[in-house]
Amino acid sequence: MKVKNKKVIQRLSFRTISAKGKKNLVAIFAIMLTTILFTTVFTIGGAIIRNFQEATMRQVGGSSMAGIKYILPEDYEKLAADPKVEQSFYRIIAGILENEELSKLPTEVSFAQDLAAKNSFSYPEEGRMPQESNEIATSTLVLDALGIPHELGEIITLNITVDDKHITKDFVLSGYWEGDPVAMAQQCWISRSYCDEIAPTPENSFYETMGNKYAGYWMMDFDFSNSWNIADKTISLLERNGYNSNVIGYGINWAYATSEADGETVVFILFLLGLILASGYLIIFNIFSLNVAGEIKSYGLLKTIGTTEKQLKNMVRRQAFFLSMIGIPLGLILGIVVGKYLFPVVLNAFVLENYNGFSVSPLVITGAILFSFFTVRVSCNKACRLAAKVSPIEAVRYVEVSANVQKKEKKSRKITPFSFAWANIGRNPKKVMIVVVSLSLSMILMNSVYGLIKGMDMDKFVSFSIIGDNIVTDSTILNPASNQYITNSITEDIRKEIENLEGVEEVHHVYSADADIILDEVSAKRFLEFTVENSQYFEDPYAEEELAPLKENKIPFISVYGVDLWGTEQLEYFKGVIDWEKFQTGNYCLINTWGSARGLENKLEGMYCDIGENLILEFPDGTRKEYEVMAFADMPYAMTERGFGYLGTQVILPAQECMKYIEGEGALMSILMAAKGNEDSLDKALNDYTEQMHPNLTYVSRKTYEEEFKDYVNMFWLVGGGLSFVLALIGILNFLNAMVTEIIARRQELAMMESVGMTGKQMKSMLAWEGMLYAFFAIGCSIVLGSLTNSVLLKSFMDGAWYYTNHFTILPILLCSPVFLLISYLIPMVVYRNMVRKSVVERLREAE
Amino acid sequence: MLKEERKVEVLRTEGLKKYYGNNVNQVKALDGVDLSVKQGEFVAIVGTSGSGKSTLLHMLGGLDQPTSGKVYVEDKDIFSLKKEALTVFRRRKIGFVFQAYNLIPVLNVYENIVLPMELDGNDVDKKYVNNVIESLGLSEKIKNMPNQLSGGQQQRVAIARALATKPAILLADEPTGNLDSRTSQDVLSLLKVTGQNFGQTMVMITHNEEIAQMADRIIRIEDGKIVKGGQA
Repeated sequence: MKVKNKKVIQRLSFRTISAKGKKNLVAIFAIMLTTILFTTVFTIGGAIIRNFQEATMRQVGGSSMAGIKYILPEDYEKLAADPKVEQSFYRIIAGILENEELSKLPTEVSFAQDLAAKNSFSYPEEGRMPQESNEIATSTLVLDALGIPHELGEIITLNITVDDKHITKDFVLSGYWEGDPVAMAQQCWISRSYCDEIAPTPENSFYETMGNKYAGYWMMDFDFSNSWNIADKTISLLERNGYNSNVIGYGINWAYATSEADGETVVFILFLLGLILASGYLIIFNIFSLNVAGEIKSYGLLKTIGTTEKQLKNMVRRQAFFLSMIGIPLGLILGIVVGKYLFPVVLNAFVLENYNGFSVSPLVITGAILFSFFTVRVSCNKACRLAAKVSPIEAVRYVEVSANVQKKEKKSRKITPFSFAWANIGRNPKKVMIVVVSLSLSMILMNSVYGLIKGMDMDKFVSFSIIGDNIVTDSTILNPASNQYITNSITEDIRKEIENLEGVEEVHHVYSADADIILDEVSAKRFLEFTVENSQYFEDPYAEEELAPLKENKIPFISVYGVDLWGTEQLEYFKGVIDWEKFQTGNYCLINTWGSARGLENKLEGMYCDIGENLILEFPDGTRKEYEVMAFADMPYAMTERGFGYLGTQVILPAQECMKYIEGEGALMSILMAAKGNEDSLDKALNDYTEQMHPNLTYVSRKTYEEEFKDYVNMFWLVGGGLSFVLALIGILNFLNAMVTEIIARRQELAMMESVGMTGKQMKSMLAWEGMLYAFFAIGCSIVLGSLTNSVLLKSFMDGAWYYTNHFTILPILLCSPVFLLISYLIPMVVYRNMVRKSVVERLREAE
Repeated sequence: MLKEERKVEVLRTEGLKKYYGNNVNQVKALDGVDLSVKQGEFVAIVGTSGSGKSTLLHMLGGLDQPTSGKVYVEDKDIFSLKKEALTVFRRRKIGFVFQAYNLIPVLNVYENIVLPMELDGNDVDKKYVNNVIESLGLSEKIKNMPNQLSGGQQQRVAIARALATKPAILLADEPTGNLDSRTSQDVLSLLKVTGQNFGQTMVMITHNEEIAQMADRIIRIEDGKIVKGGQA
């Protein structure tokens, strides 16, 4: 049976809520705060993910979701026509540029559709795509490398390698764009006609010939309607069209696989969402429960006259909905304002290098609304049930406080304001618990943030990335995106120039050569077994093929470092000692195992050789030389090529010995120590030197890392402190609401106590104790939980960070305590003062 | 008669007025009440609802300020006292029994009874209190919490609390209003007997004529004025 009663319920809910007037403000405010938190977290989270995505796309060199490689035009037509493919475009590979100046800048030569060029961030900003056979368009980076001015119509001579053909030809620049140094490869577009000329469409499928001829094949880039599960969708697209996905090469843009790519951020954001949800729940739950409890009589009355449970539930829910309709939009607006004007400042400075403006994405808004609404909805469930389940008779008699009073007999004790307060607190333990937890959250968070920051050691942080005051090295070494490391850029001339820079006190050079270790059968077997047994300590689970060289008694591609005396002093020895005089002879070596970095400290020694044993190195020129192992030592990360090397093995030789095997005897890096007080001027000098004299070099300075560390710490302060502040606000609001409703609910009882002779002073003292008991509980709870988070959670969360040492602290809790105590003392005082504005008689009367 | 004359006057009012609102809307809750109650008397104030009897009782207990006029308790002009001092005076000299909401839910029976004394910081006269408890038949219940008691029992606890401080005067506001008639009779008989035993002066307001008959004297009040029985 359907009854038309919606209107009545609507009216009732609306009237109930209007009657409450100011009391609604607390609820609205709570909902608003919760929404603000959600909005900002979604905004920042969204920005971080988007930024990461953009950065990844730039690196990948394209914004489409996936690509299929080396296909023929007919394959493209077939796949592009698939209904699941939203949009697609193609490039045709011709070759690569082989100009000598471009040795460090891999540049592909191909034809691209306009859209394909745009998609790969390589569409001319000046001029246009090439149309004539002699036209090209390319990036400013390529132009710079070739020494061509940024002007349309410039004549450029290019050496193009098309599979095994070499072409040298003059071209006219028809367009160029700002090159992105992060991209893995630069593009040089040619016209379709020229492409067809030098790289005609092959007759056979690339996958049938499986040769190494790429010219003329098509590269397809495409999007699906959404980015969900692209990998599986791509596979089924191939299979559906009759291709074997195991054979055909395809690529997924990792920019869309954010969750995998940046797990830690996601965990962090989930944690924040959980925290906000919890604090929002605690306060909204409490407000609604207390509200309903306060109005239980009218709900009972409604039930007496025939309102059903469902209707009562609906009434409460409607009130919640109504309050959300005010609170959520307000919170959204404020949250967006915060996200738009406050956070860019913070984020620009600290987290994201280019937080390019805040955009109010529908996803952020929907997310914030949904989460806020979900919180409200979940929080008011209990209140709905409370209202629905009320028995009409009991409701009329219902006194919120007596319902939960202990039923057991109790020994008589002396009555003092404190004992009174203690007894009163015990009336509704659940409410007290919720308020206490709500108050504690902010203190616990603050404490953790402080502990986290306290534990971050700047020296450790900085010394991981730098040793000395400055390091000069090839730019490819420090560019995480580079795929080719140039390890011999610091030639003897450069070494001299660096040593003569102003403000330099000391310079040390580190050399790096490549070699294979030749093992005897026994050692090879030992190492193979070790690697398999301890696979968890190695970067990847090693595939058979990677271990295959071991079976040929070889450890290939290891780095051999050359250091001076100072260099040997920077190493951390854990077995054996170094005798510099002996070492210098060039017949001895040290083994760098990366043991401590991987938690393998004492395990790696002797894994394939031991002290006193001989190690045979084979260098690229074919030279084999035997070295006696002198010691096992860990090399500071900052002194290396910033990689662990094959199977984590590296060998250290004296610089003079190492140099012999390096082309041009160039060093990997120069480590500079500034003369006291000259740090800044040396920094400046290096800046000029690397920019003007040797653009291929780059430098880092201790100062930059120190600043980076400070920014990092500041970000924690800002985000953690801000969040703690809002949580504290929520906690205090919750406490205020609890205290107000408590005192209002008990006003007759208080009036009665006054009539039997409790003085205002005694009553104030009692109420103050009640308030402060909340604070004491909250402080106690914070100390216990704060200690736990600090010594267990934080410790395990930050375990992997090399720059972190766990410090136990509860200082922030102790510092916050007086503030909370003061607030918890003042609030009851204010509420009391408000209450006594009405005379005792009036308050007594309200009972009847 | 002579015996009566010798008794000390405990409570006296002079021209007590309480007006609410002003001009057209003015309500005269009390309009010049003069009454006096002597030591050990049990007086009932009767009137219909709205007659002003509750207002009168509140004035007598110093809970409400009169518009004009005076209330003397043991010759002390209670409204000359400051608020805080009045509260202290009240807990020493005046005992209250209300219709409902009488007991503190977090205190047990004994603690409720001695509450005014403890608030005063005085040592409890245990013998006397036990005497009161016994005569009200509460000895078995002193450790119980209020919500374990019946309505009648709760009201007896309230009476015990009012008596325990040996007040100058005990004021009862419809003490049986929430009880059924059988329990009302029991509670009232107990009140009367205990009051007599301890020589307690008592003023009770009620709209129930039958209950009023148990008092020594009945004061009838109508429209804020005493129409009968104002003076002893």
